[in-house]
Amino acid sequence: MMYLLRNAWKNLARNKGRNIAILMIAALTLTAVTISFSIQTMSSLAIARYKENFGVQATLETNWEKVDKEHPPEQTVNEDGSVTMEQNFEVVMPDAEEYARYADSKYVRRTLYQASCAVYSDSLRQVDDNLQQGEEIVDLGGMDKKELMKFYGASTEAELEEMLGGKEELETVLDTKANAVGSLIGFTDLSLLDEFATQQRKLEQGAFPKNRNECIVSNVFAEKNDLGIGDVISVSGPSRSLDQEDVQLTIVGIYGDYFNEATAITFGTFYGDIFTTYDTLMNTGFHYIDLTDAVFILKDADAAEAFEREIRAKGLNEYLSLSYSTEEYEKNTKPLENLAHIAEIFTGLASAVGAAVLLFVSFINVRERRYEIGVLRSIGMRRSDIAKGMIYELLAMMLAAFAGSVLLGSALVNPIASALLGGLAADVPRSLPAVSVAFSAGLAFALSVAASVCASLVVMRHEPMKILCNSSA
Amino acid sequence: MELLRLDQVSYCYEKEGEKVLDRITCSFEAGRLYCIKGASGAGKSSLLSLLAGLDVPDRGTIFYEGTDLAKMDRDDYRARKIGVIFQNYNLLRNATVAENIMLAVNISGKRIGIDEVRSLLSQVGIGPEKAKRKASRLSGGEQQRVAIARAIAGGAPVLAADEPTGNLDEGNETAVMDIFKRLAHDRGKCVIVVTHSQNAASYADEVMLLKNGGFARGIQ
Repeated sequence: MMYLLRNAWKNLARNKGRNIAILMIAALTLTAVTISFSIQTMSSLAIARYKENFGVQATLETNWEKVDKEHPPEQTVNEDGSVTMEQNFEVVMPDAEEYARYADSKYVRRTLYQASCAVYSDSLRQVDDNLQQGEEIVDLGGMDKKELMKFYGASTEAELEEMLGGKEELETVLDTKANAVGSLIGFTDLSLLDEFATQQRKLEQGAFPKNRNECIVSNVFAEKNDLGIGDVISVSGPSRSLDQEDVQLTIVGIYGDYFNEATAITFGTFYGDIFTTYDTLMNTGFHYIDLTDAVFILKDADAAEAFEREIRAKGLNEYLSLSYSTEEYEKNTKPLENLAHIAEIFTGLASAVGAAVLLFVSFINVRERRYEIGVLRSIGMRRSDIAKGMIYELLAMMLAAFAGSVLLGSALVNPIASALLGGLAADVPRSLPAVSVAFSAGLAFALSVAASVCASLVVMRHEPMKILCNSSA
Repeated sequence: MELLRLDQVSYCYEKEGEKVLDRITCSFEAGRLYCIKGASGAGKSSLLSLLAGLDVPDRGTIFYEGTDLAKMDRDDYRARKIGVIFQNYNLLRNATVAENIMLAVNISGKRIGIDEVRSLLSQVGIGPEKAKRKASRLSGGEQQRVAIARAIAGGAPVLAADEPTGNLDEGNETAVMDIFKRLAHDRGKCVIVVTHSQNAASYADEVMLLKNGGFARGIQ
């Protein structure tokens, strides 16, 4: 056995030219297959992740048709004779607790939340030019009733209450601290941060917060307060009477703003926006937290109607309805599905063509070695041993080709995937997936077996004298 | 001691074709050098192929030490019982001289070191420095001697050589035939040489003339 291995190893060096050609064909075939399979895997993974994260997104929205029908807008004739239509009926959106109660359903895969509240600090300095286009900031915090009445132009407290939306709202404003340093925004999923998705904001250093009490701040805010990654900031909540305790947040990233004037207004951006995890925000104990976004990820589109019936039974406001659409889902997954399909076809073609070429070359290689086979047979080497030797050679070459394809594939998969996928699957790692390496290894093994069978057939076919008589010496 | 015996052996090049060997009966003993002569196409090489287990007779039986060759493992027979020296040497051309010899010994189930290979090469008149040289880079006479070294390296009791001096000059022919004679007489091998050469035949203990598919035997 050992001498067979030794001889096979020596044969690899003895037939360098032929073996290098076979090695290159095998390595290129395996690389092409590895990369195309990787693209297919990445596309499929991106689709799976998309389904997991955004399968069918549903949100609670005001049913304006019902509101308008049952509470028609009031018509007011202004002094100048113009007419204003005003909807005085307010639909109260569910709070975080209600959302959590609705989300506790077999139809919901998970729920995405975003919430925010103003934060205050004695140690941090406010960024003066908060709004990019220089809009003036009006901070109602710290105003007393008189100042508020003056600001709103209300002549009575009752009028002020009405303007602010009720007694409770007035009490909230009166209880709010003065001079917010910024907003603490908690999110469960990056996809909720539209400004980052549209590159209006970009993470420039560090990473997005993942763990409790981690946050990212803007570069302007960081510069103003001489902050960097790893620094800890201390902020308190907006309530003068209730939020006395500070919460410490560790800076894990710094983002930059790239808003133009139009989009700055759209997003209402502030340099003082501090992003943290939803979990962190909800565990600060701060008051007056606004739930700004809540999205149910349903298991599938068919679940939507049943889910709406369920939350209706749980007490959903009759003027709210579940809104969902599969358009977005299809828009995002269709290009990936097409790419996955093309990659699948290419994988099949590359495998088949590569295998055919490789088998042909291996067959020619073995045929050219008939003389050697004849000599070995004439000195008593068994057919099975000759075949074994050739199989060892093929396996060694395939192993080398496989290793080469993994190295080459690792180097090429990122640029190729980036060129083909673009921004379609940004959250999928652009490295060689383990399953692609396994597929390539499997193909290499299958090709080795096929080439070995080929070699064995040639070896088995002839008697030594016939081989030697038919082979040129 | 009789090593090989042919009993009514017949052989055709092609099925249904003319018989090149027709009911041959003869035997070969250990310690003797046999030369088989005959005109071209007389069937000398075919006979050698049959004796070497490289081909099978159409009819008749070949016995090795009394056992029917057809019932033996022919690979094992070629590896251990008979060493064959071909007219065109049939060495592995990309392999070195030492690798050619070592591989043959390994196939016979034995082991041989490089020193033993060098000693063996010296016995056939090849300088030990050529052990690491590729077989294809040796002269015809040297390749023939390497083929002899390979054939005797495994210790096979029978040596069969097909025109071993056909490509050699007179000096080399004499040297090769001397080796065969020593192997037969000093080491007790049964050496069977197919040759055209009268000079080569003059070394034989027994010359067998192959004619019209059969033997006309004469002892020297």
